[in-house]
Amino acid sequence: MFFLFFLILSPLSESKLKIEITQGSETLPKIAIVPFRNEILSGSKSISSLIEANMTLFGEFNSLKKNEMLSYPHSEENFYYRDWKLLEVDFVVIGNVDNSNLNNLDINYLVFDVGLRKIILKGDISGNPNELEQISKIISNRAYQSITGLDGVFNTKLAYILNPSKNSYKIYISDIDGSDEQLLFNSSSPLMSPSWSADRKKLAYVSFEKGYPEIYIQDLFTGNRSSIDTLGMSNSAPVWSPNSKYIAFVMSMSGNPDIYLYNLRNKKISRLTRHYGIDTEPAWSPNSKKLLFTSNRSGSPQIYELIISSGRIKRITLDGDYNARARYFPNGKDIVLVHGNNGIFHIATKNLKSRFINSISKTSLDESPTISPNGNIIIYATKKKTQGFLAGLTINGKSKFTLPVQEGSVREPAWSPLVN
Amino acid sequence: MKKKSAVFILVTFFITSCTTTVSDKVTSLDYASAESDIYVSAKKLEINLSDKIYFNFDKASLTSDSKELISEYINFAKNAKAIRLEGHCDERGTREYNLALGEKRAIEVKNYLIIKGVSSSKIKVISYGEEKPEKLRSDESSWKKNRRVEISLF
Amino acid sequence: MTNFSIGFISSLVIHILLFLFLTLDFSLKNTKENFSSIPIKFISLSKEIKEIVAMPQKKSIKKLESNAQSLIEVIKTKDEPILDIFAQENLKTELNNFNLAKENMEVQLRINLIQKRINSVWKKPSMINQDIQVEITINLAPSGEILSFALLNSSKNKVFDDSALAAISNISFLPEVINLDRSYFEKNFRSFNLVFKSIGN
Repeated sequence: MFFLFFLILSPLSESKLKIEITQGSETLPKIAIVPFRNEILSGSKSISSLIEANMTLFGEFNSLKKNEMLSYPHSEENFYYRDWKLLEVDFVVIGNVDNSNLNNLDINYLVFDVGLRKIILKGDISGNPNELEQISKIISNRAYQSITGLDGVFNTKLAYILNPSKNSYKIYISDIDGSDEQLLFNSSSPLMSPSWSADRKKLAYVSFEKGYPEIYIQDLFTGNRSSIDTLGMSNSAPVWSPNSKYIAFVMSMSGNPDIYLYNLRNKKISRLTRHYGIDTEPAWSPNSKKLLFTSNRSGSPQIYELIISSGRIKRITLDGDYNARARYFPNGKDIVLVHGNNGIFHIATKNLKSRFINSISKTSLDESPTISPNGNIIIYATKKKTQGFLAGLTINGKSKFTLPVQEGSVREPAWSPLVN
Repeated sequence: MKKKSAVFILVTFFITSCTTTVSDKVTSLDYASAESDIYVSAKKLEINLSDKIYFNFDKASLTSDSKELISEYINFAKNAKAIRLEGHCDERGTREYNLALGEKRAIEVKNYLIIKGVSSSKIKVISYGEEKPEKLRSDESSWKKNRRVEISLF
Repeated sequence: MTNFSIGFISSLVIHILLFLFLTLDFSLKNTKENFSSIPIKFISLSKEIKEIVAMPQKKSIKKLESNAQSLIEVIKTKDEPILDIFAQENLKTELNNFNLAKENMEVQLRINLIQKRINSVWKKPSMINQDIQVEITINLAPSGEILSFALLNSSKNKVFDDSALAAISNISFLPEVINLDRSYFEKNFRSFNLVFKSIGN
């Protein structure tokens, strides 16, 4: 080992010198959203400020204030890279609004990479002026994609449980920026475990309205609700398969919680695990072929992976006295989980193949992590004094944020899938 | 009856398609019959005993103190029409796991009652996990009070 | 091929010798009892090379140089009665090792500084647990000016490649090489490769 170390370090070795760069800068990439030409429309925010709000929503970028810009270019011809380099800007978005037809705005926009001195995106979009927020989200998604290589998630949604006071429980869905919140269901008994269908048209959750936990599926178009028929047995922890065919859930026969599968087409229920310990918190792999679940079969809660076709079960977490409620990242190779040690609970990530568990949150009662569809952001529930609230972070650890709290406690965030 | 209301909303979404499949090789399930809810209409019996059994963190096993307390219930339990055991957890750890743990705690009490001769058919078990804490603070003394099974006789 | 093998084997042998020398101090231990009047400085020199190679600092290179100077002086003192042939050979070997170690240190110091500079401007894209790397070749003038650079091995991830290229285009100079001995520069920094890496856990 030591010989190798010297050989690599040595400038005398035959091959060309190689210098490895692995760390990267601590500072965030800086973006500038230049006011679009003709973007001022009566009664609404400007497109550039809507895009800026989106792009900086999760703290992934610093943005240059409009009054610090040296110019407001609207086209490639009057765009000077050195101006932006001087301001240490990495990416610039410019655009034009054609408002000659007041019922149909035509917007073209460009994204510049200042470091590489090139245009990385040319876009055109048109739409009704009263859909400006939606249009801005689409432009933001495209710009974000061109800069990061990741899907933009600005038109995704969040479901969560609000507990405004004792014996009051509500399920809300909102836009991912917290706006446009809508009440889905309201109860005096606990509500739990919201889970989105892959098409975002339905939400499954647990309600105690009949005196025991029971899964309901609510149609977001019609508001219709139905429960899974388990003949009065407690059932909980629903998760919709990404292929929309199944709901994996937990049912307890004579006090033994196990994982079951509910076939949404023929309404059949089949059993997946059979163990006298606790098996719960199922989570689907992106290809709908595997499930993660929490089991205390070893004596403490740990994460296991089940291959549905073969029924083979493999233990995933080995270190720590409490590992639970895991979710797959979109790559199917990494997971996020709640990792507890000596009564402190953090959000952690782990690669399925490595032993190492990497805690990423800092507060001590963190739970219910949900991953953005692009895999870059995690929102989770935590608590301060007696109030529960939602917090988030990017997986590179460079950005942390909290979501505004209304009255009461917020918990169990569920990030919607992307819908194209 | 508790008041419930569903608020119907309309959200416009687009449709997505999925192509992956799940191989469906699993055994089918035999249903157990649902337990009846005798206690809902019955009046709760007032007994001059502590109605709460406490547990250690992430444990469902009964301590010797708990067993002693449950033993004092046996005669009342044998005469009661129905027994409701409600399992709870402290806030630490995950919600769905705690829901299962609360059930395990209540089942543990149920099994002890059965051993002592109480008929299993009249015992109803339910878990609220960490959803209905008795104390809201995040400290050891609150957590201690929240890790409990509540016994109600009818 | 044979040239390469010979080069490789001789390099390996030299390194093994260097390694043994730096870690074991075997030769000096053998002679330690016989030549107790040799100043302590000699013995500590090997140890210092070891430490400094691991974490080169300008300061420590200077210190090492002054120690080497006293070593040279001892060798020059031919009529020193306590130095027999065997001891002189040891001292020469050590001086030779010192020269190798010095180049190593001077180069490693520049590598560390260049790493620091490029890290400070590289806006690494966020990604979970992906083992990818992009290799970029750089041609440098002795003045530190970046004459040209080019993508050598793509990471197959455009955003990742672009982030690395943008980092280099944001720097026009690597002034770290300015005071480097010219022969060291030609051998190491005239043309070298930068490997930008994202490592999974």
